[in-house]
Amino acid sequence: MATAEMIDLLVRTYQHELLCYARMLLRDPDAAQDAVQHAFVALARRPLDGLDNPRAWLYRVVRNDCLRQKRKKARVTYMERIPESPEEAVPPADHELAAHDDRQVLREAVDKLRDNWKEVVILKFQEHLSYKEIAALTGLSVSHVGVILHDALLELRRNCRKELIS
Amino acid sequence: MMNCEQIKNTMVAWLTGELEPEQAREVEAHLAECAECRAEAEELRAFLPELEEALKPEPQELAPERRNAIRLASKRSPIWGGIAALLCFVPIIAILASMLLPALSRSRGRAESMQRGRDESARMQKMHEEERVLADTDMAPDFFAAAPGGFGSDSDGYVSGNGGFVSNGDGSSAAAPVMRGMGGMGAAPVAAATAVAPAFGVARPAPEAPAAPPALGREAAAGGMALGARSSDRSDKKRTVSAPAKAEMEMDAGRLAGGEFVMRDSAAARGGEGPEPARAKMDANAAWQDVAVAEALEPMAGYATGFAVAEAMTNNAAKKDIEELELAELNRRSEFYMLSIEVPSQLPRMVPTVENPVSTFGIDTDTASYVMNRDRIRNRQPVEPATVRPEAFVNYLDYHYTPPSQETFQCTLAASRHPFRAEHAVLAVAVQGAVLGPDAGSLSQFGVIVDASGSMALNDRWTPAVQSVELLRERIGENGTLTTAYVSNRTPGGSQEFAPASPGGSADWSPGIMEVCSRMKQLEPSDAVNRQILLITDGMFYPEAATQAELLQLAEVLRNRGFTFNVLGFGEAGNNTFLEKFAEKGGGVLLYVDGPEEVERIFTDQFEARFRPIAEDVKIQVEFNPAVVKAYRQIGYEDRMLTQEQFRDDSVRAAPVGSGQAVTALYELELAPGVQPESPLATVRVRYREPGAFGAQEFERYFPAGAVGAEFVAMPDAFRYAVLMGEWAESLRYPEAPKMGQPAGIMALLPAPADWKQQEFLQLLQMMR
Repeated sequence: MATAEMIDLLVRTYQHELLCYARMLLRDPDAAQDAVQHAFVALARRPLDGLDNPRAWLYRVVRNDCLRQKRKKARVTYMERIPESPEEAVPPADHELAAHDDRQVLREAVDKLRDNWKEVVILKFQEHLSYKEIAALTGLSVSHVGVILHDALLELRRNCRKELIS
Repeated sequence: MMNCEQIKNTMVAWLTGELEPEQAREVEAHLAECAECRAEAEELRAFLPELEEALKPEPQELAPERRNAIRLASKRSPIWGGIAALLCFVPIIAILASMLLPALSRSRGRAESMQRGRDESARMQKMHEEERVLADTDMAPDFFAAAPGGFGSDSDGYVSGNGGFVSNGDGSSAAAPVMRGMGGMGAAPVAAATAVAPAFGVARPAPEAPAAPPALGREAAAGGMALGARSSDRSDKKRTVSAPAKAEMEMDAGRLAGGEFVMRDSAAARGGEGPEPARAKMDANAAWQDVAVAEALEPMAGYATGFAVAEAMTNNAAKKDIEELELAELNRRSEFYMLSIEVPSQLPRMVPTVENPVSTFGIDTDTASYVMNRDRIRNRQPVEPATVRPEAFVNYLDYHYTPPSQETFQCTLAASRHPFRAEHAVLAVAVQGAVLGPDAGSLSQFGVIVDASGSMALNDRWTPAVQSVELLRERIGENGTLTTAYVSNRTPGGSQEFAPASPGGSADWSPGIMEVCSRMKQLEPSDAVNRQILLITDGMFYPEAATQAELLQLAEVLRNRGFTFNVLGFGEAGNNTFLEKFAEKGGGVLLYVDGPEEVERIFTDQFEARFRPIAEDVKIQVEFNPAVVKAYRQIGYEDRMLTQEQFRDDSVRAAPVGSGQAVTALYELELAPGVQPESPLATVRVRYREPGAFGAQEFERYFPAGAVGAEFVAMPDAFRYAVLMGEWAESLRYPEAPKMGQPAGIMALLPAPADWKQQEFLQLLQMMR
């Protein structure tokens, strides 16, 4: 039972941030739930002994699952010529309504960053991972993470200002 | 010296404070000289909080069915590898199958009923799972429940023989290793374990008591066989329909229905009772807490053998994780119910009286579920349906029934049309215990075991815990003795008599319990009737199934030796399910403490009711007249249900009732049309044993069909409060059920509150509306 309770504790502790992360990668709440569920089931099926950092391990598994899902979806999209994936179908009405909200503008700017920049920014400022953890998770070098963050922040800032002025 | 290009990849790290001091100084040196980089840094510094604010995530949770899937996977995994080993047991299983069949069919039946409405793929997984869980939890206590029966037989069950305490304690622990082995083996080998136990008892004489009689083994064997017999009783669907209750009515039954439910004058009843108790949150001492959080995890790390938490403790980066882990745990204290209890979605069905006209149950005075959920509602947290126990809600209120002057109990019955489901009626069975005089009875002995593990330092639990021991000492005064043990693995020997300055380490309760009990045994008077044990803990304790079973067994064995176990749950009370079971096995209650006021109340107002029992093993049986009642359903007491035969089987134990304590049980009824008003509706029997007495006694009351009130609002206030409290609790427990009373509707029917508890009920309804 101790294992089950431990897993349950880990679920309650990390589900929230892992869901945010998966959702950012996949832009689909259901698919994000899938990915996080798979990660915890995988955790439950492996021995907990020797798992030094369950959080990092979970991030890695969620990320791999998300990337796999994305690749699969890209293939399907190509083959079936689905015109729009859900993320592109964001209704413009929302956009207009929220345009006055600075935070919304900023969120959208983050959303428009190129994929690996966006991931690093989210991991740093939403999930509060360290440089080292981000590097280990994404396979980038620590200094590359630093450069991306620097450039991404400056770009975000510029884009937001433009958006707010217009 | 860094150049502008190099500054780029460290600037954000510098802003978020992630750089080593040396690197940080280099960055600062560069910024001091380079105006361009300085401007950039200032710009980003202003921007960071904005970005973090914008990215603040919305709370997200896994869907419940996904949580379930994970739970299944995590519970199943440890034994998956053992399946192959299991096959070796097949011949043994075949031999023992006949013994085990009734038990297995019971567990399968329950497993199936729990699965209704689940999707097909989850079903098969769950089948295996349920069997295992039942093997771990239900079956194990059953096995042990049988064993002490054997011990008791040489000494009439309740009074210990000379030296019996020591040898029995050892005899019982001899069975424990079997339990440990079982944990890894899964469901089927339970039979093997049951059969092996007696042999174990004989083959391995307890080292501490070489003189342990060999008879122990035989008795345990008898206990083991009794398990088989009892299980088959349960699966036996044969019901004896007793003759219709006497037509002759006790004249006062009708009068009681109208008269006894009258509220006593509120001012007199609750005299100087203060205003609604504000929930005084125990202030967290920040500096203290830092140390405490680290220590709090020690016991957990110990139980999750091999899990990396312990190693991670030394790693500073991971320490933050652990704190988060701990905090998340504190925020979800009641979730441990979820692990073992299925969340019900529908009201229990109405039982047709042609199927079974008799409802039997052991009383329950535990109100922890109410106190805990009151806390959640006040904090605007959602109520977990599985944690709501309607009987705890109903019994929390004071109904001010008139206590009996001569008898031990006063039983009052009342019924009316149901306030929300007009086609039904509702019956209240109220049992009020006598109030003991100040000098009644012999001296009491109290034993307190205080959990002095690290987690007790959290949220300032320690001071109130130590204070409550002092309150108890004060309260006992000249009328009894107090024996204390503070348990922690930091203390040599595992426990000490006086409070340590601060808690720390992890705590193993059993040596402390044994220590206290054996010290109490040596005290005068040696024949003290009232021996109360109070375990003070925060329940941050997650023992292995085998350790749990051992503790439960210990509580039960000691109960048969005359000790009553109560648990005082402090702070966030972690493992409630276990604490509750522990108290139940020990014949006491789990008292959940949500603040200093509650401690005060337990040791002042509630003291007599809690710690001076007037009756033990109190069971109630309600026999409905099938000619009047077509079907019935009891509200709450789900885990206190007994079979009809168990009512008069005095080896089946039930909870005690304390001085002045009252218990109220409710039934929803479907009445047959066109009934003679003088024909009996129900016969209520109460069976109990006076403390220290050998035999049980019994009395009964009748309730005539004509006494059912037509209008709910015309009923006495106490009846209305009880029924509406029951309705509210059920609406929380079964949120999906149709036609349930909602807070606004319940409020509309409540009479004006007469004391602070009723006032508080009204306020909670107001908050839920």
